[in-house]
Amino acid sequence: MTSDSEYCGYHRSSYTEILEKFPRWEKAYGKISWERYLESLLKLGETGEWAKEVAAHELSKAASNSRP
Amino acid sequence: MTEYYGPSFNSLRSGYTLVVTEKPDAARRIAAALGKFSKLEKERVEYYDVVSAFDGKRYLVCSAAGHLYGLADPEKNRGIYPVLDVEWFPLSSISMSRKRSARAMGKRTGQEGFYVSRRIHAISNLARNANSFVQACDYDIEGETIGFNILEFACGMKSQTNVLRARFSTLTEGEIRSAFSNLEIMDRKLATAGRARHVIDFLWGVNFSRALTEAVSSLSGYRMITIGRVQGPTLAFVVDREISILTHVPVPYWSLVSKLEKDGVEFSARYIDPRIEEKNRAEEIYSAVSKEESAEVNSVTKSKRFQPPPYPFNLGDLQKEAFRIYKLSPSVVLAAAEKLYLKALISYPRTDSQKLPPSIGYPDIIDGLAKNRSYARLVADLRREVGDRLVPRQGPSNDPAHPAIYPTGESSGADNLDHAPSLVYDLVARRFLSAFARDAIFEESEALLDIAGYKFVSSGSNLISSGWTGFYPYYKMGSENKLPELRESEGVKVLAVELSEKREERPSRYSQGSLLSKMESEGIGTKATRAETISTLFMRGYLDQSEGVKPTEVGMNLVEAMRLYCPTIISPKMTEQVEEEIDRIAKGENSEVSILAATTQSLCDVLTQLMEREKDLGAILNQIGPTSARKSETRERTKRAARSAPQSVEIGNCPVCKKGKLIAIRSFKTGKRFLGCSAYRSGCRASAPLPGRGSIKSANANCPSCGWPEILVIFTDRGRARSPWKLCPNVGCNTKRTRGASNDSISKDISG
Repeated sequence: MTSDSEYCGYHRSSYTEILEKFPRWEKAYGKISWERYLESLLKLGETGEWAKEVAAHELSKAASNSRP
Repeated sequence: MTEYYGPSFNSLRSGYTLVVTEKPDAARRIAAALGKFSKLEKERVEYYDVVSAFDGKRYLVCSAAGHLYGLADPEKNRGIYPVLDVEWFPLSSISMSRKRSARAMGKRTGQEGFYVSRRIHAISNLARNANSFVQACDYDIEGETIGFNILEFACGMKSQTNVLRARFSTLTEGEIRSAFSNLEIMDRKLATAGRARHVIDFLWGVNFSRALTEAVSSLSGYRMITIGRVQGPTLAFVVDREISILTHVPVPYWSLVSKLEKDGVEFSARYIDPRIEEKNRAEEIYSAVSKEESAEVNSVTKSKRFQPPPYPFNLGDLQKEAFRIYKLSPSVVLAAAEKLYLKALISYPRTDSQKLPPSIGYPDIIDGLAKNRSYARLVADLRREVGDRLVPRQGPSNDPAHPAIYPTGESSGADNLDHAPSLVYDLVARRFLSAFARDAIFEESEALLDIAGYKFVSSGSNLISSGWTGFYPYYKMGSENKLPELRESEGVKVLAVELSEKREERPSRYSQGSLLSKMESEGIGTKATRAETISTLFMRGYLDQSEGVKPTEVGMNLVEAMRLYCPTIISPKMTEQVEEEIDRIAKGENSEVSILAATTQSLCDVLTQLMEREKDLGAILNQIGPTSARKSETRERTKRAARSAPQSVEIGNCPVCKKGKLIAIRSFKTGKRFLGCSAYRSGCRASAPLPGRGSIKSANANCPSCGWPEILVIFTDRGRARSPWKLCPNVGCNTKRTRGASNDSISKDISG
């Protein structure tokens, strides 16, 4: 995960929301990875646009961190 | 204490009494109600000469056309702030752009400048030989302000101690005659409060507009940014809602619904927990219940619910209902209601009251409505239902000036209304009738069922007595789920079980109706100004109406900037406090002077903060879109916007400063075009409006009358250029006063 100082005010709020809601998604699905969670958020119409931007950014960072 | 003067008041016997009304239609109705009248003209402004049929007195009835006076900065230098001195001026002498924007906002202002000055002049002439005066403008804070200003400035009455007040809530003949038979001594408190509000709003608006405009223009060229005392918090509500939508992260949950059947009647029942938060648990329950073919009824409860009629309309409720049912915006509803009031079809619409006092005469109104074929049957139904027992449901809100909005029962003109007024009239008439009707009665049923050991609940609501809903049928009555007769321990058939995955919905955007409610609940604005505030925010390009009320990028940036550097401007608390202080002036509990002094002090403190952070503020206001994590993308978008923007057109040398050039510019905010000087940042404020259509070129010539560079406006017809229109853009040029002047300078070289 990332330091929230990378984001401006509104995107930082989205990032905080994403972090806070992750445990509820884990409870809902029993087990879900961080990446899978972010992918799901990107697909859902209910997700706010700024939250999607943060999710996409986090996903790309997770992908580049996992590359050999 | 209010004193009443009837026909025996001696000083009205000789000469005439000048009656000042707010609108020409009201003047005509008042004259007609008083007696046989003659319609006359003074300086092409109509007035009515009438000898009252009931007291023999002579009245001259004249009218304004809304506000004839407005506030302006006596220095008239648009570049300077803070502005702390204001004066009342005839609207004809205030700048053209302010009047146009005021008209566009639907403010109750006078018409063109010459029309206003003619009207003021006519009233002044009529006042010269009047023995006494009656203020007969609408009885609310704005009406008091309009009348007070006319009496002070046009009629020269500074003290207004011998001015009487006619108070009425409808323009029916009976009520006007009653008002004139019971004239009151004028109470200055309401007018003082109204004038104080105008001053506070003006000081607030002009200073913040100039401060914000300076901040943004100093970095990127002239661009006007304005914000008002009530607009700021209202815009912030919409922005905050948009932020909660944009940052929304949904959480999944599951719901189980079973479809059941008994005696051929299908009905549904949901699992007792409407939100199952774990998928495993939801699937476990589904797996168990979906195999079952029958469910057992554990318990059945039935009860009757009595739903009383809705409250009589105040303005806010009428606007919200008209938006909910017909999608009429609050400002359209207010305009329609005012038209209906001026036709004497409804009572005064600007009221907070939800109460209908018996003094309005319920039986006469209902008898009047019975003569209208649209309501004859409804009235017959009502009489059958309640007989002579006419006791309306009363709401909690009160207004000392006027009752709730009600139909007068007059039939003249009720059949010949435009679209919006006819819809509004129908709502008012039906809501009024429904207030007297009986409660609607529902039978509520709830059954608890067991499927494979899991509890399901089914509820239904049936309308068994329509009551008031027959008169006001705009609510969904009952539920779609109709339960059959169920008994404990009996079995019902399970047709299907459905497992659905759902997500928490995003917050929904405000509608104009719900935004109005939000403003009411936060105590900002007044019943008369809330709709206008919302319209103004649309007009200024801060709000957009697409999929609900949404802030534009400019609106978002503005609130973001204010939140960082001047949160007072968008604080509902601050503006609520101002409204409370104005109410206290109206009640005589505080003085105008002390409140204005306190406001001026707060204003200076806030402006000082703004001045100190002008550069940072300007930087934020100049951004296109919100501050983004991907700053490079923002820069790219900015460059693309700059490339696609139309090139500015140089017209000629600036005749005011003689240093800069006059350039045709399109306003970023409004999309409108105007001429501005390139030396704006050096202090030159030369500007002129431009036609909205056609391409603009320099005529390469100066106006022979005033010396401004002339322009050519070229329209196209099916792709072909038509003969250009040559004109001087200077609004003060003498050539504008000449009518029918031929354009003998048409250039044949269209491309030049």
